[in-house]
Amino acid sequence: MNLSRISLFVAVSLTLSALTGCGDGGDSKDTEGPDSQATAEPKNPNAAGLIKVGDKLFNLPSPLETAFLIEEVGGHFTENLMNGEVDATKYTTKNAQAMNLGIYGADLGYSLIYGQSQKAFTLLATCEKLGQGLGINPSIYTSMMKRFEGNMENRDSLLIMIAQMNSLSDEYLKENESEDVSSLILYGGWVESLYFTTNLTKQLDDPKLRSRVGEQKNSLENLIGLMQQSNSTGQLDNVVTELQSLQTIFNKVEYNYEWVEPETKADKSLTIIKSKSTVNLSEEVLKEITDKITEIRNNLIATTA
Amino acid sequence: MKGLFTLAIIALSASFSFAQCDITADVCQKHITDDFLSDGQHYRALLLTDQVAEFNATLYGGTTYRISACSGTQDGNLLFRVTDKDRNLIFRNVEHKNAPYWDFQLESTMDVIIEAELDPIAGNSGCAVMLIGFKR
Repeated sequence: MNLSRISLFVAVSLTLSALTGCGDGGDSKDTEGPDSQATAEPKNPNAAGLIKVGDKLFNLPSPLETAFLIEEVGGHFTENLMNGEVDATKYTTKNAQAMNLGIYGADLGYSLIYGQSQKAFTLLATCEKLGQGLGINPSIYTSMMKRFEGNMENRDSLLIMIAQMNSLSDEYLKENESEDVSSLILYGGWVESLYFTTNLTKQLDDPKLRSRVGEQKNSLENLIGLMQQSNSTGQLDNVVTELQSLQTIFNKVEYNYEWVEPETKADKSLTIIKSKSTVNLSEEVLKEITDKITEIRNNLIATTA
Repeated sequence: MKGLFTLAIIALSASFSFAQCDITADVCQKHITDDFLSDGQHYRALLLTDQVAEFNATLYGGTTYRISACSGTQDGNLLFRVTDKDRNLIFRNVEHKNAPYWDFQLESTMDVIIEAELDPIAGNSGCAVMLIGFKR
């Protein structure tokens, strides 16, 4: 139904554009000039989650990627790193619900990777409540919970299901003109993942872990771009300001990059990207990042947010 | 009058493209097979011929990613190329029969830019969908 409305809007917009463009006499050449080309551009950049061409789309790493890294470097499951608030109904504003859905989603992935399926199931129920508050199609969660219950011992299947659920809810939000909610969920997930990683560096001196923290310099740039795009009415000014403040610290991280010709293996549909990058993150900067992300994260999970 | 008719066709075409997004997403999703986990994000752009959508991504070293890029109801309608931030070319699917997906194995973490545009043969407008998965 939503798509029909949007389709109608586009059709009407373009037809009105056509009428305006034909005002000089309707010569077919009019439709081929630069002006008519401009009228053919999508007029509603947010319609159905479609981004206006000329803007950029930003990718953020999945919290699951970070959780896998934490497991790989030998980090132990630490339950008290996760959001301890069990009553999701305390998050009453749309922004708080969206950001905490991202946070609980990251906690859910973290629990699953460590085989804490019962804890993960509880978190899934919390995500369902927040998702309902945000208007995400409840069937996405209910069907997931049924499938989850039937696969509690199969970690790999559960991970696939959760990745699918995240993908479906993101698709649903974008179809329903809720780009801002989608962005805030990603924001919450990114903050929680960085919170996990930085806190683990306090106990575990692992170069991969430290690099991953420093590499967030790049992701942070994408995240700021994403939030700025979703901030057309200034409703996310606080979020952007916090992230820019974090970026000031990340700017002290040294990132070196060297282009190397890639190798493509067409028979395997694979390209090996051989370019080299290194990250240099000092103890002082790591501490600054840890402190700042902890502050941001604790503000997000506060029920008064 | 002829111009009005042309634009009405474009309007209908655009309208159809919006409706096609769901179908396109399904076409694209099937390439994110079970050995890859979706990053949980759906990237979409409504494109007309000659328009290019730009996707910015950070890919981590030591990981293999699959990028699936589609438009319309069948594979091969979307042209995509991957470059680094300095626009050094990494991959173009046009050199591989418009492959709808491709895997990228990273030795180091890097930022990439993915540009997507419609294959002119496939039509004048369409919903471009891109999905990213990473190997477990």
